[in-house]
Amino acid sequence: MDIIAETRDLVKYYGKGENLVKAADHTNLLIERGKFTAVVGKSGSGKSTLLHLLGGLDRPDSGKVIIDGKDIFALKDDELAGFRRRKIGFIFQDFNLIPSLNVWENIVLPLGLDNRKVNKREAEEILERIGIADKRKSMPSALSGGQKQRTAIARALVSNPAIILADEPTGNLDSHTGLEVTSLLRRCVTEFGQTLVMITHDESIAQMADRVVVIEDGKVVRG
Amino acid sequence: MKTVSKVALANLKYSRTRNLLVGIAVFLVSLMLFAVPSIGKCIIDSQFASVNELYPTWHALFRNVDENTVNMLSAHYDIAEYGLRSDVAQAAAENADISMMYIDEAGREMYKVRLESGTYPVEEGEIVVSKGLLEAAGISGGIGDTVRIPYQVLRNGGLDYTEERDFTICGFLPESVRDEDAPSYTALVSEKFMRSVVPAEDISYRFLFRVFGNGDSTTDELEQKIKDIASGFGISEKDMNINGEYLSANYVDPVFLPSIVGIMLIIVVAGIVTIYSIYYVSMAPRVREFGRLKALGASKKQIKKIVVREGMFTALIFVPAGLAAGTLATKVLINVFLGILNDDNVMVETARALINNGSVPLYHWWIYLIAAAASFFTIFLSLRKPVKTASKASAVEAMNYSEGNRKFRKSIKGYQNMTVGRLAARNLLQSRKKSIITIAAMSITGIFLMCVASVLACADPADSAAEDVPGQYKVVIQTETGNAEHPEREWNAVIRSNPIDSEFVSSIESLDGVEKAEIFSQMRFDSDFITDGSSEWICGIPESYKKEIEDGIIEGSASYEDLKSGEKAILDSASLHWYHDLAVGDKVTIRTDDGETKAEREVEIIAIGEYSMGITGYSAFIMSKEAVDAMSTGSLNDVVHIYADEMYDAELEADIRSLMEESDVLRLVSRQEKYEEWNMSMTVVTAACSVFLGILGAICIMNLINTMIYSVHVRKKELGMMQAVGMSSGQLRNMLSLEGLFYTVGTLILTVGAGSLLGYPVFLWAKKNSMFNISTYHYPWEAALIVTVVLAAVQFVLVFALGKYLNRDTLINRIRFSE
Repeated sequence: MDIIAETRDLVKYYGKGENLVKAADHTNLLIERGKFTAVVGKSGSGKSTLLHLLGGLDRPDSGKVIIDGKDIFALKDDELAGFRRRKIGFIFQDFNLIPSLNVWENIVLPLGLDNRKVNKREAEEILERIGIADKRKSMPSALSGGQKQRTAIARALVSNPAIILADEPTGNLDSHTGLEVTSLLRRCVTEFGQTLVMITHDESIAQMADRVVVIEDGKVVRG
Repeated sequence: MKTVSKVALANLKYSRTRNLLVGIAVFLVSLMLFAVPSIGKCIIDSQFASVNELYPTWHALFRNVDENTVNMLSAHYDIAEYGLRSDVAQAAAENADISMMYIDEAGREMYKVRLESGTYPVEEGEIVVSKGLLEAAGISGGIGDTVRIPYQVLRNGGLDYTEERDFTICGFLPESVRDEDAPSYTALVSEKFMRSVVPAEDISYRFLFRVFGNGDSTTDELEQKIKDIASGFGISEKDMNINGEYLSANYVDPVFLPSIVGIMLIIVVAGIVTIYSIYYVSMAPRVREFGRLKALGASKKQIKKIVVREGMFTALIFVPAGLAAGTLATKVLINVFLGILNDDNVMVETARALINNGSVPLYHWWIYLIAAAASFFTIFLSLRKPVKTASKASAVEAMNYSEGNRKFRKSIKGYQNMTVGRLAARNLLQSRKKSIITIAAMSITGIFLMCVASVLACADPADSAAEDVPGQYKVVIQTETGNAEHPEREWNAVIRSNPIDSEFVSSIESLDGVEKAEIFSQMRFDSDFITDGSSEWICGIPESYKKEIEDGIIEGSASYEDLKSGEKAILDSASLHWYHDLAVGDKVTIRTDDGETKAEREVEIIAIGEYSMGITGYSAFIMSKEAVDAMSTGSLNDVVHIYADEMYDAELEADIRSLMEESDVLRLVSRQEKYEEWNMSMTVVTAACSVFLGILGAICIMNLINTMIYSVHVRKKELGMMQAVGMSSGQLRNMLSLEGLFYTVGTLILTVGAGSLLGYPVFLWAKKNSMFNISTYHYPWEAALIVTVVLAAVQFVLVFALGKYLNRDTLINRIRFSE
């Protein structure tokens, strides 16, 4: 098995005493390269925390996250930021596009932050593939939910990351658009060999994954 | 507590940062609104109180009034009271001036003459003296003792030969504060004595009087009355002395009140602009919040009340704090000012005593009231816009309100590649209105600051001193008119044995440290355009000043060659004040009389020039030195300007003084002493202005702080997003720095640019109004530098602090952040 990401004994607790929430409780998980892994679980089970820790958006209390052979929490903040923009693509439930930038600028932002020149042909190809080529000059506020999420997907793809982490990307979309977006992501995995980790509590979407991981109280209970 | 107040209070706590910023601005505004009028009032009050303590109470005096005119004047309907004084004689003393004068009872009242002991002189031989006077005259004696005093009677406008007689001391005047270098004393003699030594037709009075007026009369009205009386009796301006200080101290000065109100208005405007801008910048989330309240059923009126109460709660905390700080600042600043002022000055000493013993109160309840009211008014006006917006919007509109300044267009062309700089530019461009409001608010204050700084920079004591003394020292001739005992001091006599000759100048030039010495001449003349019976002067300037003369021309044209003929002259622009009918092209007939030869010639005014007093010595006309010298067979040398290699050298000054010893008509003035005089008065003005501008600047900086904090606060999530997709802390800091730099540079361009441009006309205005002897324009480098450094430092600290503030929260919390 070709492992792209791994969590080792990952611990992240919030609160104290009675309010203690074990968001990640000695979690061990292996993510296979080029596969679509769905993480499911009830609300408050710790799915999002796991994803954020995997993406280096939050630091664990203890344990390790290894991506592409690198222990990401051994990196300093700025090194981690650099690592994120090169190796990890994020897709959020509420899209998190930068409102002052148009579609194209939102997409090429990670490259710009990495001081890389945009390969115009490649980026255009992604826009075509995602189906928002005609929206490249639009501002996020002028886009529909589906278009916004496609823009977010394009942004995640543009830096050709090792892994894409999607936090309930269909949560704010109607079921039809949600399915379209998931199919798009699925295609990215099948056709381009991307690795995708997606949090969802939509069973129908989870069924499109290569593997389903179930989280309960911060622990992997299945998968 | 009512729900409305509860919500307002909760809002107050919730928007702590913003309310703290508003609070600081309110604090500074109320501090200034209290301290400015308090200090102003205290200074003026103490000055007025000192004036009333020290100055005579006559409104004006007319000199050289004969008995006949006295009789007519005393019947004038505008004159309420009058007194008489006549300077009868000068007692002979070696190193002191002792004037013997007669003052009638009303005059003594007006002059506040009080005897230490004894009675006023009535009989011919009676005299009132002081201990100091006796000491200076080398006499001793008490009341009832007879002393022999030599004196010169003032007859025909001059001092006659010395006479001597016995006087009986009938009273003692208290010791007055005197100038150590040139002590002067007063002795009172009787009317009988005056009449016995001066023939009735020669008696010349000083007619002291008060005109009718009450406390509401303005100083201008009273001055006008005085001038009308003078013109009615043909009394020239030179023979009139208006007691301006006393008038200002007791009547309404039409300029004073508007100036204080003007300064207070500037503070109120700066406060409103700043507080308004602080509320404006943070309005969007507030409007949304009010939308929610509206959806829950709050009425328009209730929402208005919530906003106003929140503002008023802030005011209730910070206005009293500002007033308390203002109270302290007033005390401290008054002490500092009194500390800076010269100790030798009687006025300052009296003012200090009056303040310290509580005769002049520092605090007034009504200033507290006005300052508090003005502060509340400032907040109320600043709150109008958010209140309107919040109460106008429908619940749904309000809940979805995105800031007016962050409305995005549907699409834009955009950049192909993104960089940190472009990110910053995009954000600023999208919030154009907010950026403009912030920059405009800061710049208005900044421009005002630069204008005041321009005037202060131009009011350079070194310049003002150079206006008086072009070199480092000057030796001037001082003549005296009508002293029978010293006919050699008459101008006519001095030019026959002028101590300023080539030998004198070359001995000055041979002194160590002297680079050159330049002689200027002056010739006295009379002409029909001089209507007050006095005479005027022509200044003869050496050729080495050719450039200065030609450069100073403001109207017409003249070369140095033109000025050599003696038939063409430049008119000094300062003389236009007296002779406003003179113009370029006029030909005037001048009459000269050097005591030996009388001459008449026609002089054409070919130009009008603007020159420093040091060059012209107050002469009306300017010609070449050779032209002036040719007007008399005597030597017309009048002043030697000495240029030295050091600004001041005590040894050199002593050397020059020793060269002057042989003559008693020469006087030395150093640029250093003039500099010290000017520096003294400018220090106080500069200190006062700096404090005022500093606080104004602080109010304005609140704006920058608010805008930057707020722009980071509302974009917390957006910035988190950028970090999530890989923006490093360094890049974030760079981006914020660039945004801050935009505000700083924008403000600086406007402040320093527009401020500098506007500063010049303000300088010209100040110069025209002879403010602080201003003559040369100086760019206010210091102020520009301070503004730049302070803005840059504030921005640097802010970016650093904001970076810290953002990183205090985990990235994931920021991404989840919603207001």
